[in-house]
Amino acid sequence: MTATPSRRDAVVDGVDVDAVAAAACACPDVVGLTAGWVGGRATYLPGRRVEGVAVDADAVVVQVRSRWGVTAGTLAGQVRAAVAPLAAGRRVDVVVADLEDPPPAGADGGRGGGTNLVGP
Amino acid sequence: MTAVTEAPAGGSAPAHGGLGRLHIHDRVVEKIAAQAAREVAEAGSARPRVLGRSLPGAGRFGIRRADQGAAATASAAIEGSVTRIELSISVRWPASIPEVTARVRDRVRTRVSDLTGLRVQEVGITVTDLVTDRTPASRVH
Repeated sequence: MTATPSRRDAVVDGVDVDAVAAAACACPDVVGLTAGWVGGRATYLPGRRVEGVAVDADAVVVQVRSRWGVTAGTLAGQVRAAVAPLAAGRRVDVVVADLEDPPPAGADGGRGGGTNLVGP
Repeated sequence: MTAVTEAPAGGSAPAHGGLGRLHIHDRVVEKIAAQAAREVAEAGSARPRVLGRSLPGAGRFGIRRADQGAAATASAAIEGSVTRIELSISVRWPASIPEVTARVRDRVRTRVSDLTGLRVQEVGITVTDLVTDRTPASRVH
């Protein structure tokens, strides 16, 4: 289900769902979009489905998988900044549905008192 | 099930009137908590359980034993902007259990609140095993 921004069928209530998905995925700390669980948030379009993006009456919901070690606030800020211009005046709700798997022990000194999970 | 925080933590308030909510799933908190517990040197993964009971001779049946290098088992419940976390860990012999659990609790609390902005109300810890291995298991990463 790759997003193709030029398709006209992806516009739901004035929001181009494919553009929202592409903008959210382009955020540096977003690993990808996810429906979260079977039957989770997704937009159903003719013949396909965009997972992790839903257009509600008053909000665009973007459900993402976060990069490891990023604060939820930073992530939400990035996604909101990217998606807000496409949201047709709706608010942007960010759902951190999953997290990238942590780096293996030793890769970043995460074990034995390592405190560098997050940057400064 | 999910957290609702109107203003995201971390000082990066959105420039769009602060509208929009931030939800965080339990699963995210669980992963952070498990990894945070692992960062404490004397704490390791919980003893493997079969049908909810730990097996005394699990190692002999080829079931993985409690492992100092592996992450602990965590479950989290989020209500509003508050979370409660339950952890199962093993402790390296002969470390002091109160000391290790206090360090784990502290680390988990800090990590989860730093990364998610949620308030950690409670960290419940169950110590399911003592690990006597003197050398940490070698890892193939």
